[in-house]
Amino acid sequence: MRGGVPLSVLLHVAIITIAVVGLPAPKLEPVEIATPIPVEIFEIDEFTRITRAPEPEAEPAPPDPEPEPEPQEAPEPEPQPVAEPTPPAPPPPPAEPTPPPPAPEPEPAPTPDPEPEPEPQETVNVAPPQPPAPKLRPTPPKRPVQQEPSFDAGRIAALLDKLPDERQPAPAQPAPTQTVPQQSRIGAQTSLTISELDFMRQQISACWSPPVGATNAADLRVTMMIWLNRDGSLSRAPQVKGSNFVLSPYQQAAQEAALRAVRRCAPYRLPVEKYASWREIELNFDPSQMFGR
Amino acid sequence: MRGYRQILAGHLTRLALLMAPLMAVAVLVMPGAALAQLRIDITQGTIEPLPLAVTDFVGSDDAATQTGDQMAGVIRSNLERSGLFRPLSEAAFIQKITDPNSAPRFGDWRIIDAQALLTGSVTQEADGRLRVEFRLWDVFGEEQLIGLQYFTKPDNWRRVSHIISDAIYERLTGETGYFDTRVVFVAETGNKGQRVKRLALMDQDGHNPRFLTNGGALVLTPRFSPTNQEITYLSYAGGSPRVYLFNIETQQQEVVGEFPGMTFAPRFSPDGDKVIMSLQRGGNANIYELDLRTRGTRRLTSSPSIDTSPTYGPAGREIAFESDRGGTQQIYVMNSNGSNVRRISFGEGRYSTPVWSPRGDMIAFTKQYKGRFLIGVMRPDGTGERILTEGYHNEGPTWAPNGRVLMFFRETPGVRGGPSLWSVDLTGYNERQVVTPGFGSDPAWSPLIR
Repeated sequence: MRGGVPLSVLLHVAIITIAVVGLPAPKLEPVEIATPIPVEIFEIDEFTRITRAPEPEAEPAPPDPEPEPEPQEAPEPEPQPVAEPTPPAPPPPPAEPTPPPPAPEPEPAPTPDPEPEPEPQETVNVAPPQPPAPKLRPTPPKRPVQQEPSFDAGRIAALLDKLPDERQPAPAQPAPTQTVPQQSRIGAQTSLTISELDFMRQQISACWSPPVGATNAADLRVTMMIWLNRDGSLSRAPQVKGSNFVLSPYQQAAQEAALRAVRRCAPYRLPVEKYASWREIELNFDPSQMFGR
Repeated sequence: MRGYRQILAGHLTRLALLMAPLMAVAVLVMPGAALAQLRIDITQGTIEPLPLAVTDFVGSDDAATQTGDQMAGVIRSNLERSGLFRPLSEAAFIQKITDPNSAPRFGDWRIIDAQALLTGSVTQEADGRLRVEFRLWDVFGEEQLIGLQYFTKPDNWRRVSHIISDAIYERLTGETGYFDTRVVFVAETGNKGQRVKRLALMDQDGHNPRFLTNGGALVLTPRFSPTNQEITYLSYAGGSPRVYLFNIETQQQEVVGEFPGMTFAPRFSPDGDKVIMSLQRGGNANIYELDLRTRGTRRLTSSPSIDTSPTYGPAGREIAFESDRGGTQQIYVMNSNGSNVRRISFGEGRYSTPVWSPRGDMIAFTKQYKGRFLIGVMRPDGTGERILTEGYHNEGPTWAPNGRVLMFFRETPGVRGGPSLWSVDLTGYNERQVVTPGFGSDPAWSPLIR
C-alpha cells in the first residue's frame, strides 16, 4: 500500500489524459471543421460578390499590355476545354504587328464585357458543379469569333494565325494551374462555400412563390427538412416542421408553396465531393423581407 | 511486485467499470456534436402566377361534354383574371384525361410545369340535373388536394363554375374566393351631360348583366349588404335625394327612414342590420345610424362641417368617415357610438371615400393630389399608405368580399369619354378593366352568394 497512493494518482492522471486527449481526438476534428463553416456563411453572406472579386485580380495586370494579356485571360478561367476551338481567336500575336487598327476595337468591346459579366454570376456555378461549365462554353466562343474578323481586317497573313495556335495552348494551360489552387483552397473543407450556398439558395428562390395576399403574409415562415441523393434529387419526401399542428388555411397554403418550390426545383446542382455536408438540409423559408414590414 | 500487479489489476477493472458508462455517454453525445446541420435561409422568392392545368371536364354525353368545356373555360378565365394563376395552354397538354376519377400521370404534367391539375366530369342525371365533380391535384406532391361534387340545374353551370373556381382559389392560396359574387353598378347611357343612370347587376366576370331600375330617376352610390342580396343606394325618385333599400330577390324597394332633409352616402353595417349615412341640414352634414329592425335612428357626429362617406370597421365597433372639419377633406376614425374621433390621413392632398376592408386590415380611399385622382390603401391607424392606381379620375373603391381585390371606376376625359369599371389587386398589380355593357360607374361588390 506504500506505493499505492502515488500509483493511484499516476493511473488517474493517465486515465484522465487518455479520456481528454485520446478518446475524443478523432471525433473532434469534424467538429472543428464544422464550427468555422457557419461563421463563414453568416458573416460574409451578403458580400459574396465582393469575395469573388479576388479571382479577377489577375485581370488588372493585363491593362499594361492591352492586346496580349486580355485575350489570354478571358480564355483562362472560363473555357479551359474550349481553348481548343477558340485557337483562331487568340489574335494577340497578330495584334502586335497590326497594332493601330485592331487594337482599339478589341479593347472596348470584347475585353470589358467578358471579364466582369460572366465572372460574378458564373463563378457561383464554376465552384460547385461541373454542369454549369457548358454554359460558360457557349459565350466565349462567340467573342473569339468576333475577334477573328478583326484579324482579317488587319489583313495579316494566314501564317501568323498558325503561330498563335501554337501559343494558345500555352495560355490555356495556366488556367488549370489556377483552378487547382482554388480547389485545394476549398478542398480543405468539407462544407459548402458561401458561393455554393448562395447558388443553392438561388436555385430554390427561383421556384419559391409564397402566397402574397394574406394579411399576415410576412409572418408565414416555413421550416422543413430535405434529404438529397448524390445527384441532387430528393431521396425522400421533405418534412415540414410543425405540420402536425392544426393549421390555418394561410399556413397550409404557405407550407404547400414551399413544398412545391422544393420539389419543382429538384434535382439541385451541388458539389458531389461535399455530399456528406448537404445530404440533409434544413430550409427556412422566411418571406418577411419580401413584404418589407 | 505482486502488490503492484494486484493494485494495477484492481485499477484496471475499476477503470473498465468506470469507463464503460463514460464511453457509452461519449458514443451517444459525440455524433450529435459532429453532425453539422446544414441550414439555409430562403428569404427571397419569385412572385409569379402559379402555373396550373385546367382540363376540359369529361361529359357523359355530347351536351354534357359541351357544358364541361364551357365550365373549364369559365374556371380558366376566373383564375387567370385573379392574377395569381396562369392556366396553361391546352395545346401543351400531353395526357388526355378520359377518366377523371383515376390518378393522372403526374410525370406528363410535370414536364409542362403544371404545378396543379384540375380534372372533372359532368354527368347528366336521370332526373334532369347535372352532376359535376372535380378533383384538384398537386402535380409535384402527387396527391389530391381537394375533390367535390355538385348537383345543379343544367342552366346553372356558370354559377357552379364560379363555385369550383372559389374552391380552387381557397385551397391554393388559403384565402376565401370571390368568384361566386356579383357586382352592382350604375350603368350610364346617352350623351355626356344628359346621361341616363340605371342600377345594373352582373356577375363579377361581367356576364348576366341586367338592369334593376328603369332610369326614370337618377341613382347613385349603390352599396351591397355584406350578409344578403340587398342593396342600399341614393335615388332622386321622390324629387329630393333619399336613401333607398332594394331587395334583389323580391325586387322590393323602400325609403330608409324618415329624415328631415337630404340623406346620402349610405352603407351597411357588417352584420347587415344597420345602415349608416349622412344627413344634410343647412350647410353641414352629420352622420346617422339607422337600425333596420327597430327603425330607430342615432346621430353619431355633430360638427359644423361636412361629415360623410361613413364605413364600418369589420367588427362594427369603429367607423371611418371623411370630414372637412380640419379645413380640407381628410379621413377620420371614431368609435361606433361617435366618441374618440381621430384623424388618420396625414399625407399631402385630400382624402375621401374611405372603405374599410371586409377583413379589417386596410382602408381604401380616393385621394386628390395635384389635380389627379388616386386610389390607395392604408392601415386603420393611418400608417402604411400605398397608392394602387393613379390617373385623370379614379374614384369609388369597393372591396371584393375576401379583402384582396378592389374595384373602382375610372373616368376618361373628352366628349366621348366616360366611366368604366376597373379592378386591381391589393398589391397594386394586375390592374384590368371589367367589361360592362356601356359606361359604368360606382361599382359595389356583393358578398359571396352562398
